[in-house]
Amino acid sequence: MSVSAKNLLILGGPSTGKTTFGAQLLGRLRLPDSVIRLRNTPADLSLFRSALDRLAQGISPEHTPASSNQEIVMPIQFDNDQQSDLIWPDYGGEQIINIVHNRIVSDVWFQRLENSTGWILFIRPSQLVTFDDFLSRDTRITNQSFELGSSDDLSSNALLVELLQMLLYLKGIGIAQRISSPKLSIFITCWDEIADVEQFDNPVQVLQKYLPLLSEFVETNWIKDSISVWGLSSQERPLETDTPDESYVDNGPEAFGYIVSPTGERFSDLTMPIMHLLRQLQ
Amino acid sequence: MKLCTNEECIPDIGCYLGLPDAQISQCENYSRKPQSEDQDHDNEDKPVHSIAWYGSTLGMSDLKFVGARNKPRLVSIFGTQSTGKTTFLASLYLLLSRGQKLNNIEFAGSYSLNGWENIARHLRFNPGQLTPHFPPHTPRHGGRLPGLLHLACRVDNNLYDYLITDPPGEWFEKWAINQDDPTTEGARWMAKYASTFALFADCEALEGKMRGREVQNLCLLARRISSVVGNRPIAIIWSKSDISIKDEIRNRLIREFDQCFLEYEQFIVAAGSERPDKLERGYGVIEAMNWLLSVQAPALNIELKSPNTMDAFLSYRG
Repeated sequence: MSVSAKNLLILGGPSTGKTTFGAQLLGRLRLPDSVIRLRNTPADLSLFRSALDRLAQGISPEHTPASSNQEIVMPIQFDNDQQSDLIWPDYGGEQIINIVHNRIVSDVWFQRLENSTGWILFIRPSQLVTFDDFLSRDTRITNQSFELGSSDDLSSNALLVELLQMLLYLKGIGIAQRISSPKLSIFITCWDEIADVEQFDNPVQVLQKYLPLLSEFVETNWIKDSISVWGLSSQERPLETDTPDESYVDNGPEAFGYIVSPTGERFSDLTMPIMHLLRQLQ
Repeated sequence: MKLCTNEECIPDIGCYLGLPDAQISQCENYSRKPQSEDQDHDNEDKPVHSIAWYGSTLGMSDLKFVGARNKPRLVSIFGTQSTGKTTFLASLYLLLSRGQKLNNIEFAGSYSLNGWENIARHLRFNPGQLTPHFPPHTPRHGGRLPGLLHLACRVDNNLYDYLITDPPGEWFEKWAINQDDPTTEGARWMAKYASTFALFADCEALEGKMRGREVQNLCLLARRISSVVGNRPIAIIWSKSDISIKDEIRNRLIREFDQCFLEYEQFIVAAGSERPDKLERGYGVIEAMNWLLSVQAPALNIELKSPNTMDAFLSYRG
């Protein structure tokens, strides 16, 4: 049987949880009850070495260096006989910000973009750049006008819309017709950090609340079956950088973390959203 | 490359035989040499793929790109200085950014997100700036063409591109007096190519001591527009409507508009309302924009030349 390669484009700014999810995903792929399982050992795991080590010790993974840009090939099987090589990139999230600010992408990024059939966008609500404005706070507007000058500091709403627009443009995908490929999954990460999470029935509502412009942009431009929005808590709870979480050490990192499905249900199998994406890519 | 010859072992997760990490390289099954420290940089290379738009307000040289998928519609906004044109546009962007929706018009992107953010920033609480302030007068930058803000929208599954002008108000007083004034090329361009017109009537000025002059200026501008509008749609935007104007003033203006335009729509707007108890901030912006974007209007009919043949005028990017 031929083994198809599935190139996923992992998108997310700094500290949005890409590496932690990658490492936890790898751990889950070894569990017998996961919907996706490793077929055999990935040839090179060095990409996640540090994160795996630290999680095993119950401490939080370190920030991926800004210039780091590598990928890992995960040989997987699912749905009984389906086999695939999941090509999972990891890199310093600053590169995403730089793409938007500098309006150029490197050849590595371009090739990755060209080969990708599924995109995963990591969004961490606590890291978003948002502003209060004259509509949200009752305050006097001063008449003393002054020029602020232009700035590259975009709100996250604008930055993420611009990022997706740029990537679609570079991939040669227009929006005159709604997009069916690449498939887009949005992960609302560090779900456990969201203070008002009880107010929401599902991750889509969280996206609409925190990034309304981005939410409308993706809903308008992708066909409904080609996008999905998930909640993700890779660690399940915050970990310190130096003091180990004893329960992590004792039970192993694979005992922690959960995803929230697009319909709002919680599951411990972190491979589920990847399964969803892979089935869309069939 | 396989790290370990033992099929079951994933050394990076933990040695299958139970060796501690520090000793793992001594295991006879383990075959991988330590990585070069430079590996992180192996894939770094020169940036080679660039994006076709700059993100700031668009100039003529960008129209070819925007026009490639669609003939855009041009919403030309007229109004003398300080009538609230930029505040209106900034409010629109801030309203959309917080999830306010246009009726049956879905936001599908913009090639001028930096341009929208730059006008909206004045009305935000920015770090180091205590309170929002009204945007300063839109500068002329020596350019002869207005900056164009772009919106892509989907209406009933069809994609439309809109270009909305953010012009300096000083053009219009001069243009109203002399249609051939050499410094008002931008106003003539806006009038010539507009799909839809919006004329701002500033209630604050129409209530103040200089209201007589303001009525006159507005009437002159309305007459100038009437000479070029043809059968294209026009809206009168009563801006800063949190301030009441006398019935006599409003009636005089309406009589003037009735003479100038066969048909026109009116919108009560208070984008930067200073009396939120009377009219809330952002009042009327979405309603006016809904009409301006959805009214039946001709697409921009302009010959788009290759950008590299353009002179400075055509390349102006505000």
